Amino acid sequence: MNHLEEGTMLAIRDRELIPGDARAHLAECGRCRTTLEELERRAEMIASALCTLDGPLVVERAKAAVRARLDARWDADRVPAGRWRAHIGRAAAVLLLAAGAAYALPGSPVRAWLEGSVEGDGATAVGPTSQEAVGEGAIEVDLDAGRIQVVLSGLPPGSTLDVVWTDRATARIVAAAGSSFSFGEGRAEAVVPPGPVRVELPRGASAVSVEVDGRMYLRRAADGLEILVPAAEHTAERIRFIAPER
Amino acid sequence: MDFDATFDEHYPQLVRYCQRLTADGDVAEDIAQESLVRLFTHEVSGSTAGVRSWLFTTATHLVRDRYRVDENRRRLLEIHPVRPNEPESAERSLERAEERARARVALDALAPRDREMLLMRYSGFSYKEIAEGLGVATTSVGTLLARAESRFAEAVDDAGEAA
Repeated sequence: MNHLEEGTMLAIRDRELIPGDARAHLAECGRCRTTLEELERRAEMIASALCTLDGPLVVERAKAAVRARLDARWDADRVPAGRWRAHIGRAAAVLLLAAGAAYALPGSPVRAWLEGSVEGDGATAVGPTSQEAVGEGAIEVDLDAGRIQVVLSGLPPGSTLDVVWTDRATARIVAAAGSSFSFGEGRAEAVVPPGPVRVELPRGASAVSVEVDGRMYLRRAADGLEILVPAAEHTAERIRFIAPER
Repeated sequence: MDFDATFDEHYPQLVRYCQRLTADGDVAEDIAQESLVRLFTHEVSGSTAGVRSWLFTTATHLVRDRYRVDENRRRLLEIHPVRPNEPESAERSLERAEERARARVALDALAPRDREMLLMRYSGFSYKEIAEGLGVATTSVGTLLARAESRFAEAVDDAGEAA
C-alpha cells in the first residue's frame, strides 16, 4: 500500500483541498491516521512555540504613528486616485532591471541578484515581473509610473551618495557589487553593501524622492526641491550626501 | 478604504508576524506600520484577504531587505522581547525566556523561505495565499511546509537538549 506523502498529510491537517482518493486512503489506513495525529500534535507544539515570541501589542500608539507617517508623506504631490490607478497596470511593464558592471563606479562590478514585487491591479502584490538587462548599472524605473521613489537600505554612515539629475527618461541606481534590487510601480529599492552609491534622477520627473534607511534625503514635487539631510555638495547637476550616523 | 477599520483588522496580526520574523519589537512595529503606510499611499484596494496578503507580502519584503546582512540576524538572536503586562513568578519568567530562546534559535535555523512559510501558515494563511506571497507553486506548499515544520521541531528539540 502506498502511504500518503507528508505534504498531502499536511494539506489534510490544514483543511486544504486534496484529492478524494487521499481521504479514502486515510479512512482505511491506520498508519497514515497515526501520522496525521502526530502532525496535529506537531502543529500545536509549533503554534505554542511561536506564541512565546509575541511581544506586547500597543495598537493606539501604532495607529497614531501610521497617521503621522501618512500625513508626512506625499502630501504635496499626491497623484489623484483615478490617475494613479490608471498607471498601475502599465508601470510593471515599463520597469527595467539591469545587472552588470557598474560603469559609474570604476572597479566595482555589480552582480546583482534581482527580485521584484509589483502590484497588479491594486489588490495584491506578488511575484517578480519583467526583468531585462539594459546595459550596465543597476535598476531603471520609467517615468510613466507617475512618480519615482528611490529607497536605499544598508548604506553605512560615511558613505557617499550622489544624486544626479539627468535628461534621461528613467531613474537609475548604481551601487557596488553585492547590491540587490527590487522594484514596484514607480519605485526602485536597493540594498547596498559598503561603497559609494549613485542615483540618477530624470530632470523631467514631476515627483521624485530618495529615502535611505528609513530617512528621507530629498524629495521634489510641484512645490520644489526639499533637501532633508545636509548635503556635502549641491550644484544644479548633482547633490552629494555623506550618510550620517543612524 | 476606512483607515480605522483597516488598521484594526490587520495591524495586530501583521505586527505579530513581524515580531516572530524579526525578534525585534521595535523593528516589527516599524515594518508593520510602514506596510500599512504603503497600503494607504499606494491606494491598494480589494478583498479583505487580498489586502491582508498584500500587507504580509510587503512586510516580508521589508524584513528581507532589512536583515539581508547576516550580522544583523546574529544580533537579533540576542534580543528577546519581554511581555510587560504579565506579572509572573521568577521561575515562570525564566521558563518563558528559555522557551522563547529555543523558539528563536529554531526559527533562525530555518532558511528564509522556510521561516516565512512557517510564519505565514501560523498566521492563518491558506496554501494558495502562501504560494502567491512567496512565489512558489500552490501544489508545493504542503511539501515545503512539512519540511519547514520538521526542521523547526527538530531545532526546538536540539535547542532544548543543548540548554
